[in-house]
Amino acid sequence: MLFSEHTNGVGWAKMTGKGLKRKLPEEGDLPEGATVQKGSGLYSAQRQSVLNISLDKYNRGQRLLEPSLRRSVLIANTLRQIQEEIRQEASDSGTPQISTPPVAQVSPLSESSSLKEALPTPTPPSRLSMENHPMGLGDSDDWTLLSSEEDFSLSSAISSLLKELDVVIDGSPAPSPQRTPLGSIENLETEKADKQEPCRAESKHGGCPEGCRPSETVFGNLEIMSSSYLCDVALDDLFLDIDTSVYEREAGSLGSRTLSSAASDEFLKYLPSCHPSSFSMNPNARDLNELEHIMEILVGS
Amino acid sequence: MLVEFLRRISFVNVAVQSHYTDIISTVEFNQTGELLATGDKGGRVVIFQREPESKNEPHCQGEYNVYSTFQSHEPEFDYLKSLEIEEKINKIRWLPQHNAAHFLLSTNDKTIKLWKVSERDKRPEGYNLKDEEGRLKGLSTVTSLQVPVLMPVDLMVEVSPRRIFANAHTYHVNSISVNSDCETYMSADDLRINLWHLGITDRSFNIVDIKPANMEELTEVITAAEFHPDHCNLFVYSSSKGTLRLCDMRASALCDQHSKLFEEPEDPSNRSFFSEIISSISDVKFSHSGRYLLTRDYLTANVWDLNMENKPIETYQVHDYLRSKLCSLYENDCIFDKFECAWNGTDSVIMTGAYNNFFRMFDRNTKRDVTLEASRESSKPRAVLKPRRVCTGGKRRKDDISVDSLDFTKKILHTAWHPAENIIAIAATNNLYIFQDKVSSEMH
Repeated sequence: MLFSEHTNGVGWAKMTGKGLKRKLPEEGDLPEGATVQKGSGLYSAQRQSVLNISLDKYNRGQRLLEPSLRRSVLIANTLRQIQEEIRQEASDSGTPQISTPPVAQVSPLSESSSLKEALPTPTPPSRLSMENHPMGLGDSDDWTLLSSEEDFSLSSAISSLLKELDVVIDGSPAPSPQRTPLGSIENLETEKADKQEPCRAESKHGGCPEGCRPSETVFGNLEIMSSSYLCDVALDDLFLDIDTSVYEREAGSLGSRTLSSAASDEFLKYLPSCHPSSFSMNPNARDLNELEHIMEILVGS
Repeated sequence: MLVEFLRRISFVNVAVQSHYTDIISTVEFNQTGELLATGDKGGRVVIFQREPESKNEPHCQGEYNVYSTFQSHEPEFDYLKSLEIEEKINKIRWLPQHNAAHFLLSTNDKTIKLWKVSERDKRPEGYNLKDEEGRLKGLSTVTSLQVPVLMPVDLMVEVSPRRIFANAHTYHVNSISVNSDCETYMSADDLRINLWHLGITDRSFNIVDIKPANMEELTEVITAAEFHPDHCNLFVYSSSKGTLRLCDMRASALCDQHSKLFEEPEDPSNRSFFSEIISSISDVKFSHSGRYLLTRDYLTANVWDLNMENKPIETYQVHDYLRSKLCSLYENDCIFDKFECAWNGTDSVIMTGAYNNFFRMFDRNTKRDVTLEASRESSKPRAVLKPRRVCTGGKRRKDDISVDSLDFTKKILHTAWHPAENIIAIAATNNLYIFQDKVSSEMH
């Protein structure tokens, strides 16, 4: 009655096919590491495939009615891991840092080398365009005609805004919550939103904001710039505007879920730290456009 | 013993009950095993009670019938965050019984509720001022005084909410656990664990907080938590990175520093893109003895000795044939399924679910294991469950199922084992199966 007769991984190659969805013929379901050598084309193709799947999952996860923090964290960690690997390979192999064109097209069928080109290790990070991504972010909506790159940076900007809100909702100030031992957590009343200091972001000007690593400099800048808008916008308007307009933009459909939940917005924060993408070669011009964009949303015009 | 267990009987398919239009989301026996509670995605709780054994009808002995049904949680809308709060019951935990009434805790993503389940089988009759329908009698018609007497009535089970513990969790509650002191309990969400007193609802104490100052640095979440069955100061929580932390509440009020960290070093030969995801622990259970821990990750179930932190003492492969399918399972999200695990009453057998409505049992002493199926097609009432086998490419026997034919939508995430007897409850989507050991039932 013992559960036995495991085959080793090699035997698997013949067994696959029937009931399971597959992307690449050679991807199959080969156990990574067993028969696929790291560094081989097949391995890179697999990795690319996993990267694409992960990115897509991550974005779709944010639009779920009930986003799962655990799921998002696991996907983000997978993305980071792959990124690290790619960066490691790029720096190990001594690939010259090709100044990439603004649009680095990546598709699952692309050569692995083009992926390396798209992700130079040092700053500035280039765009990982999702425009050719087969599981495109686009539906048939007008909003999704925006380039996905804009989408990501927009998400990052919004996430930073919402991060401020999250601090409010969560009841603990950034950066470290000062908990007193045995200090009880009173019920988190929604009225706590009134206690927010909209201009807290001011302190971030000039200094590198917390968590600002070289690879995230641009995000950090964006965070500073977008955060400052909190001072100008009434808090109530913020809630209202983000709720509806952002959601409509992102999902393109009516529904009750938005990105503005404090719990789920945090998922968005992983994006900049693990995403090689997001910002163009022309940070200033680009960011100005994006900021205008964000302002429109905030003000609800 | 597992050998006898292979012959099972008394299949009671409770799916005939129409409550289960929703997916069952949690299953839990109480401390005596007399009551079995289930929660579902629609926020309903159904409690089953075991029929007392009767010599007259030996076949009916030990069957579980519906005792009570009630709506525990309703869907809510958080207006501040524009977020719908699901009414799905994530966990139910019974309190140890102290009087005639039973108490249980049920929780959805945000709110924990304490419910009192009590019986009423008598009714006072013979009031002086009220007639039988409860209308006031005209005083002039009252000519004599009578003493009301208690008359037996049909059993009524009343369920009432006694406490509502709300507004203490920003993230989704995944676990609740009643302390052995019977006064406190804890609730764990993705990033925090709170300690409550059962009598106090407007306050809770935060005992674990793994939320980083910068949410961008978040790489790990809490997946399950449980109190030690005997030591009221000890509890354990598991993480999405495959670590277990044992904490002692005597050491400090904030248990961010663990007393023990249980983690198995990764096997480099098995490394893949999905190594971390499959190492995420989905459930943790103390043994009844309190000496061991049972954990479940995506492909294995592990038994840990509390005295040994560097690796589990036993590892059981639940469905290793999926190891080469991880990419597909990642694509279709199955890799994120959270399977629960359970000990039997004597801590000699562990059980956990799998796909295709299969569930697995491992005998820790004999090292034998068995795969069984919970489906109406494969087992008629009173029939003995037949062991199943998944064919992985070798010699294929009759009735084997090939890996490619497995139905990944039929997953058994929630299972429970009677605290003393060989009776198990298996939740298969929206059907509840209760299986019983034939041998033990024949002995009665």
